Amino acid sequence: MPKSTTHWALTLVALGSLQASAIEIEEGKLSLNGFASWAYGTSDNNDFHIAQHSGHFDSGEFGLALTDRLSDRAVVAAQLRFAAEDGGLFLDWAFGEWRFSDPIRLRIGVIKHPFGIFGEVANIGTLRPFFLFPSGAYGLTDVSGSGVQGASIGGTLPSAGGWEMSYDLYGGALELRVQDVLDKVVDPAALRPGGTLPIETEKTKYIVGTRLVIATPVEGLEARLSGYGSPIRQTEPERLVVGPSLQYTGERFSARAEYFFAYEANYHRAHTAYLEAAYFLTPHFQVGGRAEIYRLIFLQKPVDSPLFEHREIAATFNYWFDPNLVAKLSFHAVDGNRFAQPILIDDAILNGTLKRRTLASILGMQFSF
Amino acid sequence: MIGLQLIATLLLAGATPANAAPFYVVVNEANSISSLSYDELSDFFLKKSSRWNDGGLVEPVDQRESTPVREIFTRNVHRKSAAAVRAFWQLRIFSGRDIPPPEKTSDAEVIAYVRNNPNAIGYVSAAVSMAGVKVVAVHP
Repeated sequence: MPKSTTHWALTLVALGSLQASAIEIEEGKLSLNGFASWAYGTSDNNDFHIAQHSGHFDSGEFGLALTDRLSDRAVVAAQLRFAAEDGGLFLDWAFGEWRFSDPIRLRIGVIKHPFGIFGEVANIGTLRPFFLFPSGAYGLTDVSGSGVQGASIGGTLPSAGGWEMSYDLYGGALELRVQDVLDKVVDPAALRPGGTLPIETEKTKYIVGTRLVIATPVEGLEARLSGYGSPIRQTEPERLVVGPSLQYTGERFSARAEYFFAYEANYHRAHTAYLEAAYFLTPHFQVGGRAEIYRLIFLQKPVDSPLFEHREIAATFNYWFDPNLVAKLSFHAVDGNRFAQPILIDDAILNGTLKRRTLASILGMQFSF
Repeated sequence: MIGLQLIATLLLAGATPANAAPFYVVVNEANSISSLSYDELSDFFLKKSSRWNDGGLVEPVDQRESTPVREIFTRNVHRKSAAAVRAFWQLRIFSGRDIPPPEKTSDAEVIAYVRNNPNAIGYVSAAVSMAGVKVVAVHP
């Protein structure tokens, strides 16, 4: 076992034995919270996220969020995340907030992308049943961003009759972490022996976006509408991403469904959707299932490739030691290569040995405090 | 002494409406508020509403999640399970939106916090010494 893996495993065990609660200083004016995850993943074929054909142990990450209330109206917050495998230390968000009123809060800085259900909390495993988030919406695509550098206005409007609405309006530059499979398909001349599919960080400038969240009188049921685009000044091709989300969280049963449409002028469009449900059989033992689909379409000419498709059925079996500490065992049956590929993908394409189907399993632990 | 406590308890019980909640909501003695609905209470404790009528910042103080009164308060006022409220705060914390109210381990600590903070609001399970705080009538 590599040293880093041992370190992560020991850290998780040690932290897991602690009381899971935030650290409060000055009567709650300063708060320190954290989260972490680690998992082992394996697959029978392609690499699917941390489930790799050769077996994978090095997926640990740890983050700390700090929030300080400077005054009645001023708040500053930052979150740092360390993920050795992804490249080290990340500044997830760091912003200052001025609270004009409950419906109007202004933020300036680096803010998490207010998008869909998990856009802002994709790294917090204790907020979802599966170890992995849905790939099409929150994975390495140009749908959900990792952060917005700019400003936002948001807040909660007064509730009435059990209905409640909150909103975010934001603008700036959106950072996206993507794996661009299009070139592998439409530009075969670029393929070379030993070639891989690197993770790239892209920045889309001058985007404007919004997210509306409507809580219904049915306890736990809420709907969301998210979208952003680049309508003001295009330094890059015009982009638009939009989609609805529906979520129900009850005491034992929870369910989510989301659909997103992404479009980049003269380049591609994509559709992605998933449905997942989970149920607590006992206060500790939870089972869940998810179906997901993703489809990429190249706009310049009709091209078909398994690299443009993803269809997945997954099941998870979770044991919640505590609401903030969970062990998860999940199985994923994947058809398509949009998110499941061999490491040496160019070789597989050139040799015609790319396999569409992948079975992956992941055993891991996630916690937050 | 026991007699005085009993009298105080009865007086406090009389101060709450007929459909009184199974807990006492307390604010600082200087606060002019006299009654609150469950919805208003919920908005204060979930920080969806953050200002008193005079513009002061509402400073809610919670009880530890393991206490029975927290469970009763959560069920009655938020109409949610403890798990749902926990998930609500996780979402708020890790999206950088807000942090939950400070938690106290006993009624006496809640009373002391409210006594020392003019804008504070808390809840307690029993009629402990209420010096420096005021019990607010609550209604569904």
